Amino acid sequence: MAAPLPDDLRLYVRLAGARIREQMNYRLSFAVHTVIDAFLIVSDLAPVYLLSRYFGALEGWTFAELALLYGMVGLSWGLVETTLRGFQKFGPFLVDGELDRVLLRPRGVLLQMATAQIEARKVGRILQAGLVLGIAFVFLDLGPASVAWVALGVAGGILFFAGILLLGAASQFWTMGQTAELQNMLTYGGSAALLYPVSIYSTWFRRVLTYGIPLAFVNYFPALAALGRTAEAGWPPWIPALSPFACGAVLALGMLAFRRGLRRYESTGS
Amino acid sequence: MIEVVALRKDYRIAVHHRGFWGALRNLVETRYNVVRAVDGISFTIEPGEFVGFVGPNGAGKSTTIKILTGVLEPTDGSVTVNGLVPRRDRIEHTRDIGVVFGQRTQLWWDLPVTESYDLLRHIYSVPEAEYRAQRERLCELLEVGPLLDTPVRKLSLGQRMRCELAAALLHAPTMLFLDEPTIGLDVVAKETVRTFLAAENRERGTTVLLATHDLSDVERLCPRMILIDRGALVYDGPLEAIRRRFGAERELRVDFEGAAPAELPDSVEEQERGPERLVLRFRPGEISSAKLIAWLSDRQTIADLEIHEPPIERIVAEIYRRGLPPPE
Repeated sequence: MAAPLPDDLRLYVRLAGARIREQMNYRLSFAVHTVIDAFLIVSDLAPVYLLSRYFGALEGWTFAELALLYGMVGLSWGLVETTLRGFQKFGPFLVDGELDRVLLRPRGVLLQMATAQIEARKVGRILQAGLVLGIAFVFLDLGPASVAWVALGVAGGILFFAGILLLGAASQFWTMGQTAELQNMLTYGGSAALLYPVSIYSTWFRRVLTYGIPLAFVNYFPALAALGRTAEAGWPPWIPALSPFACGAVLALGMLAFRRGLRRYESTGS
Repeated sequence: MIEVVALRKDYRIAVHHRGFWGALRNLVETRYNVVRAVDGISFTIEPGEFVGFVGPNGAGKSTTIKILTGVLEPTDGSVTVNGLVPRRDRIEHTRDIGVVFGQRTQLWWDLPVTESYDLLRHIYSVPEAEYRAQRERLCELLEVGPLLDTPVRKLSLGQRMRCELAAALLHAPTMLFLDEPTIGLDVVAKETVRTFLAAENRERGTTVLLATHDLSDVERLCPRMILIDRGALVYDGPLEAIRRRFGAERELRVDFEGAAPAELPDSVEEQERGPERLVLRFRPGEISSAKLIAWLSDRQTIADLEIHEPPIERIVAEIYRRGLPPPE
């Protein structure tokens, strides 16, 4: 689990490319799924739009500002889901022996597992999230400093979701592939919860999202900073800057858990 | 050189709860049954040896191979391969070994064979020129050339196994671990695989450990056989010595066109008897197949017959019953 070297990166691209070429054998399925994914953006954003239209704004957040939240979390989750999908499907890979094959080759386990499955159609979601983000930028007329905050949030989100995927994958070592639901709850549930500013949630849930599973650092705090509203929301100004650290901690936890799980697998077998 | 000393491997089989809440419960509460898969095996394999690793299903062959290839860690005992500890030195160790699991593919299922080979070249960082030479050599020996553009999922089992062997050797390892590579293959495919393995071992000095439960693999290829059963080493030596002592036994199944003869020659053991059917055990040293068949057909017309070699399970049982042959 060494730091990614340029050679590892090149190999990642090759292995991911191979998975995409494999999928191109099933073109119809690919096309259908891409179309379905394209509609998801409508189904995701329509209720947000209706709510903000109906109430004028949600907790003081206009539709454009809510779109910013959506774009941030959508972009980071989309990037992680596309590039590290092998961990999302880790349970079955563990059970059917894919991990053994990975261990038989002189390369990093994380590098090989990440590319055990790649779904090209998820790229569509990245583009959609980017589009929403771009539109939000235009409507909100954000300056370079705000854009930097958004970028920081997206970067934090990448670390966060990668960490969550690894944590979920690691749990499979103990349950032999039976905790996929738990993993999906955290990733899909998390990205759904983040469609709205965490300030709309009740106090206990907000605390969980801030201090427990630090989802608030993925989009809420960086977005507050980008909109210049950190103080207005009652937070100290340095809070959004903690985003990479809070999210980095989740990734570190995920990597640690995965490493422990792997040790366990090697010493106990499947 | 492969050195295995007092190797032991226990599996802990978790007792699972089902469903979503069950999965959560599994995280906090786990009960285990311990199963000893390998129980104190020791052996040494010198470079260039061709060793048959034999035992009934569930004897611990696959587990031992997984430990030797660095996938699993021993519970106890030590394994060193060319001075490396397989699991600890996984990256360095796997550069120098080739592995084929008969049941599982190393290839990319939906891609043409040639793309799998290119990917493996990058995974093992094989220099272009060496890769080309090695690939050409293997494709010729295994007759893989015409299959290179076929997606792996469209290959027959025999074709796939030839492609797998080439894939396992593209990085020119000095050791080859094979787990049931001939399982399910037809006679022709088996022969291609065996001829190839014999040549690799003879001409390139590749060390081969061949796990199998098919004794004809061992007879054809392996001067030395390591026999294990229920995780323990039962025999380590030439197959011939075992053959001379136990393996000489044959089984004869005969269907008659009428009532089966009531009496049998003294040296023949009756296994099963039907109204028009007999299953007999005999030793060619005591009575030849031809004589026995002639003796039977003198008494009743024979409709059909088959002669079988004893399966590995029976040899193991015989060793328990009558002890090992004396050392050479």
